[in-house]
Amino acid sequence: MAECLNSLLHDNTRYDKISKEHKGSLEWLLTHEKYQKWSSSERSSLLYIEGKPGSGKSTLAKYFRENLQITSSSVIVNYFYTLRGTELKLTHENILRSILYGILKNDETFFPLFQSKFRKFGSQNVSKWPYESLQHVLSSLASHPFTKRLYLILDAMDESEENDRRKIIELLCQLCAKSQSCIVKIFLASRPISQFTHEVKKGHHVIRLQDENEKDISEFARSFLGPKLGLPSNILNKATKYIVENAQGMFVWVYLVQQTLLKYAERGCTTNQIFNFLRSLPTELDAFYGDILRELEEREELGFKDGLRMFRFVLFTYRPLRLAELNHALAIPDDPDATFLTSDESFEGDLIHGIDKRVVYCGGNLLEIKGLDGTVS
Amino acid sequence: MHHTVRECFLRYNKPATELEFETRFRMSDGDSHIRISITCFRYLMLCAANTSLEKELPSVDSWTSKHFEVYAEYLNKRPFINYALSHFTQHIESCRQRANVEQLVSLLCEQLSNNPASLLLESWVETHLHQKIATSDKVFAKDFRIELLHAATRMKYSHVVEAVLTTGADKEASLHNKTPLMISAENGDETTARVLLDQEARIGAKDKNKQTALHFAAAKAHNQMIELLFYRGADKEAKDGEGRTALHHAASNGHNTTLQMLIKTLSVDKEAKDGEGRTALHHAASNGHNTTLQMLIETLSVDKEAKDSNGQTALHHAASNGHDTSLRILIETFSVDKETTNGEGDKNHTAAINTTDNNKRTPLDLAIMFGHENAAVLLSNMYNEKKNLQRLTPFYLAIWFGRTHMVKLWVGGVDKRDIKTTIKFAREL
Repeated sequence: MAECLNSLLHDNTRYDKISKEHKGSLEWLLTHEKYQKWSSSERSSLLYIEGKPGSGKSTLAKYFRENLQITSSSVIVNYFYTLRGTELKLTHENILRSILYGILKNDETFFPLFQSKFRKFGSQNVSKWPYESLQHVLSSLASHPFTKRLYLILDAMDESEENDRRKIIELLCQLCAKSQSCIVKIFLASRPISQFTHEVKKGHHVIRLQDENEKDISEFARSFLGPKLGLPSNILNKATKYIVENAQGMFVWVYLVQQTLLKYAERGCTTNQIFNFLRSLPTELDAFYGDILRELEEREELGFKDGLRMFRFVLFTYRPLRLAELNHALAIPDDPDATFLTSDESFEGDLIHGIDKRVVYCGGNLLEIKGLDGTVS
Repeated sequence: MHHTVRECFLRYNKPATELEFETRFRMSDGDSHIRISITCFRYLMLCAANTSLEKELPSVDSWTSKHFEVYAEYLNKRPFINYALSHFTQHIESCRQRANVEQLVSLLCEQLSNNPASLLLESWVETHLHQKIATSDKVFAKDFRIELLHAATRMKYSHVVEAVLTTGADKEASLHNKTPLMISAENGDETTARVLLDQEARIGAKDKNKQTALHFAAAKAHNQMIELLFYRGADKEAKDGEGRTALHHAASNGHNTTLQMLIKTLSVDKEAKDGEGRTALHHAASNGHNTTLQMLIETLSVDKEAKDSNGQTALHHAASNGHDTSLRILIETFSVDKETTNGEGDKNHTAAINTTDNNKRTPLDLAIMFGHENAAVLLSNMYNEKKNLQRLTPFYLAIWFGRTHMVKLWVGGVDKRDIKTTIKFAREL
């Protein structure tokens, strides 16, 4: 069986990386009407948490997992996926493989479902499961003879193509429709899918995140518009309304707005200037990031270069670096043509004092230092 | 970094012609991996060269363990070394298709060849880069890494231990009769032990006295280390050359919390016998660990009458070694039974001090034999004289063994008729 597990193995480590910040309160989930219907029903069904990127889907999925009442007959499979380096997309095949891996790892009684398929190609020295076999195993889960409650928690499918996502959802819906003694409860968090929502709505439950976190976003916006920026109440209301409307559930966007406004206000400004500046900010995340990066590019050369190298280390290293590691890596010239002196004295002279400040300055709010050991991401 | 930021960068990661705007943040895969590879390699060169230690260290062939410790300390201030060693190859592999990579690797290795401390990287370069460093002596390089691994382990630099292991140091090699795992176990340095175990260091490795890492940890009362070793698969009943388990070591050193953990949490055999048939209780008694004795009997309910291969109980051991407080505690545990067993205890108490070993010696006999005055008085006061007449009296025994200073203790209370039997008996001993 270990061999069978290995053949399905896939990196799935995002779970620990999700930050707890800027999430607002999440208690509403457990009392939500659709959630209760979904969770109390004895039928297999799918709960679709729909939200734009950066609206806190991952935090919600984590919250759900932590608050799930576990009984001896429940099997919980968590699926988070994180892209690394230059991997551009996530295929439905990879997603499916990880889901099956999680199921088998959590409950051995599902093994017979895998066994026959595994034997078929296991001998042929194929290291990865063919897609058809994966698909077949997934749909055969429905005929699992034991009365189990199988929870599938799926998240971070944002990085996949819409078509891939749709395929997975189709497969999962089929599984729900067919399952008999084994109850499958699927908790799926994903960005909105245009053509699909209708199909999913039939017999499944959809919660739109932006309808739910409006209140949290509004409170968060007020917390910095009022006390920190000192806007008078009439403008405060207007500005809050503006932020809520444009956020469309995206907490990350509001966080960026907060950082940018606070920085803007540092130089001293009028109420009208703040409000106009707020309205001039991009309403899409990508455009916002674009602006931030452009600003970094226009900085003095050294600052830009350090920033570029920091982003490169964050994006392309095979594990996140700690702050001290990053500092040492930055002190080594990475230009193939540059001369490199193998000298401790010259190296130590190139280390940055206050590397934490440098990360904030060069990374422009996009880099974060986390945890006790100061992992940079 | 939020995953949406990552996505944003990935969108930039296209040929410049396909991007609808100009950005200097466009990072191509190949270029990024090459640059990170170069950073890693140069960093390793720096660590191998250790130029700042030039004045402090003699030539490598004459390094003593002290010099290795200096170098280990230097490496401990080089945090990026582990990433560089473990991931350099991956980065290189990710840009293999680029024409100048092979050239780059050869160039880097060439630079390393002229480096005095290439000893550290000799095997690593061969396994990971399939290149040879011309100047290095393989056997010498191997010993160099072993010495360095031990120095780093001694100094508790887990980070350096990890690095040296990645360079291919032999994790099982013993210096001064100990493997690195044993050293970390003895130091109670769990971080280093974890690094070694993650690299599959043998948990059951034995030194020349057949002691395992667990024995070392138990002797020094490193409880968390014991737990770590146990959960990583150490044999909790492993016996050393004298047949002693970790429990014996904890008992002879009087480590009460360790004993509790071993017995209660790890359920080791609390009556385990060593090569001389001694249990943990015997060892605690021989070494006079009073609270340990009390705890073993009252809290952990070990067999207080257990006999070793010479037929001796814990009382015998306490008496032979003159631990009178231990004796009192042991005897008291028998008297405690008195209250619970309706007078039966009194008999137990007498029976206990009358227990004879294979050579027919009572604890009192041994106390006298080894000249422990206080212990002898304590025990003799407990004897019912009449019952004891047919046995050797303390008076004669004291004479027999020449403990004249003890004779005066009993003058007056001696039955002289008995002298013949006594001497006859004593001869048999």
